[in-house]
Amino acid sequence: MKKSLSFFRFPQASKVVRLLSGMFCTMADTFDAVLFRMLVPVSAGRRGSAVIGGYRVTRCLGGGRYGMCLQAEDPNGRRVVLKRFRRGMRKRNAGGNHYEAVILSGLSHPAVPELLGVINERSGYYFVLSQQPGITLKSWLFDRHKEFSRAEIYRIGVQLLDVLVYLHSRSVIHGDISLSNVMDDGKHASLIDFGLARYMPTRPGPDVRASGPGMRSMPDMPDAAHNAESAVIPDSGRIDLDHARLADVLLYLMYSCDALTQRPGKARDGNREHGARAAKGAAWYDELVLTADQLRCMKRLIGIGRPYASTVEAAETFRRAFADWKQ
Amino acid sequence: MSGFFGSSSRRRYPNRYQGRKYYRKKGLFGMFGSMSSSDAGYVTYPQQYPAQGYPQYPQGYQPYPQGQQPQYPVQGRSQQVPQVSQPSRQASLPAAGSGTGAGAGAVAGSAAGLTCSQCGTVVPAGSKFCLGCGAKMTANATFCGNCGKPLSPGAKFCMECGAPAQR
Repeated sequence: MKKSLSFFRFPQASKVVRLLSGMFCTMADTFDAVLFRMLVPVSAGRRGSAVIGGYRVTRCLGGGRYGMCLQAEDPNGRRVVLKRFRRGMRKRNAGGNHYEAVILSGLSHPAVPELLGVINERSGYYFVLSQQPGITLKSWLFDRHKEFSRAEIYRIGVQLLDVLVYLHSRSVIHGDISLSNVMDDGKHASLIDFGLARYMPTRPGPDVRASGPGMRSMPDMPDAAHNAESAVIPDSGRIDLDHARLADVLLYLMYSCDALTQRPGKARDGNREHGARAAKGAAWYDELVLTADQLRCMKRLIGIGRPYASTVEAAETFRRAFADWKQ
Repeated sequence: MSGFFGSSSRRRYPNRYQGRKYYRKKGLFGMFGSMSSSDAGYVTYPQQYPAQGYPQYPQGYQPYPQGQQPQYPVQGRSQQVPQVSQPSRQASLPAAGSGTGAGAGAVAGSAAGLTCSQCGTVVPAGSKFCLGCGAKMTANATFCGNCGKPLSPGAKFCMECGAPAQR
């Protein structure tokens, strides 16, 4: 009897409702996108015809989960970026929408976009941001198939670490450093998209320590040495998240550099440090040709081993370890 | 049958502190609002920004018993808080200890930020622009020179690190 009445339990009904709600939100977002296309014609044929909040839209830069980015010009001809939020995302993330505006209002750095305004009109809700020079590292790597040299990797690493030093000194965690969120024009690297940026917690608890419970162990490191390194975990409030994501970006760049990778055909010349260990499916620290200091630095950045207590320390160590890559 | 009609059902309310609101939020009519006449008093939550690291008291907490709140003398300049067109938006936010001269676009100070004079939206502390209408609110964008976190309007010290506010 009890089983037959289990149909009436509400949590099962709420699953269906959640599914329906998701479908409803998807339909609402689709409708929003269609409406936006009608209100703001940014196709190539009608280029420059739309004006949003006094800014003339020139082209669509790209889109993501949050919405889309448009390139526009202000009346003085200065290029800006209009970041348009999907209505659904704004409603679903109502408690966290303001962080980007607040955090960008408090930052002033050439490698960080400046918040120039907020537009709330019929065609949508926008943040007006200054445009950073260059294109994303993702475009460099996967659209233009660029191979980064050691000097370029060093430059990008140092410049991004400088930005992180500034951000962390202002208690800001970017939280979303990736190939898509780093712009580079060949001289200057800059960081964009502060949608997931947050302030550091005041008193970090056990879940926001510099090294989380998912810390991996180094396979080639003896247990005693590993324990000694990870014995003291610095309590620095999530800066390790930015460090790890930055290291991830740098590893992508290193893999694009032919001199740093060990492909099967190239391992025969005998000049590689770890040539004998490189194999198919090997870990990055076995594949990349890095010195011991460089490997240690990258491992600490990415979280294998004792993380850096501060970004200043991480930047200094990176500079020292990769100094011979500097031209 | 027990567990369906009777009050002995243990799984009906997974969180005993939420009561029937648990299902009201997630249920079918939670999306569209209540259709029951007995639930006419149910209103949606006003939009409010979470405090950025400031200490939070649990709901219903009163630091002093009712009617025994101590009266402090007015320190500094007092300022009349004008009526705002959308009172529900700032009803749940704590009132400011001392309102300061806000600047263009700003009306009254609170722990969460200033209220926009054009649209009545409560702007979170630190934002240079009203997030509702986009009006410029430079007086709201004050940050701690030490730790970089936003200062609430009129604050003399940073609530995070204790450094004095530089104005």
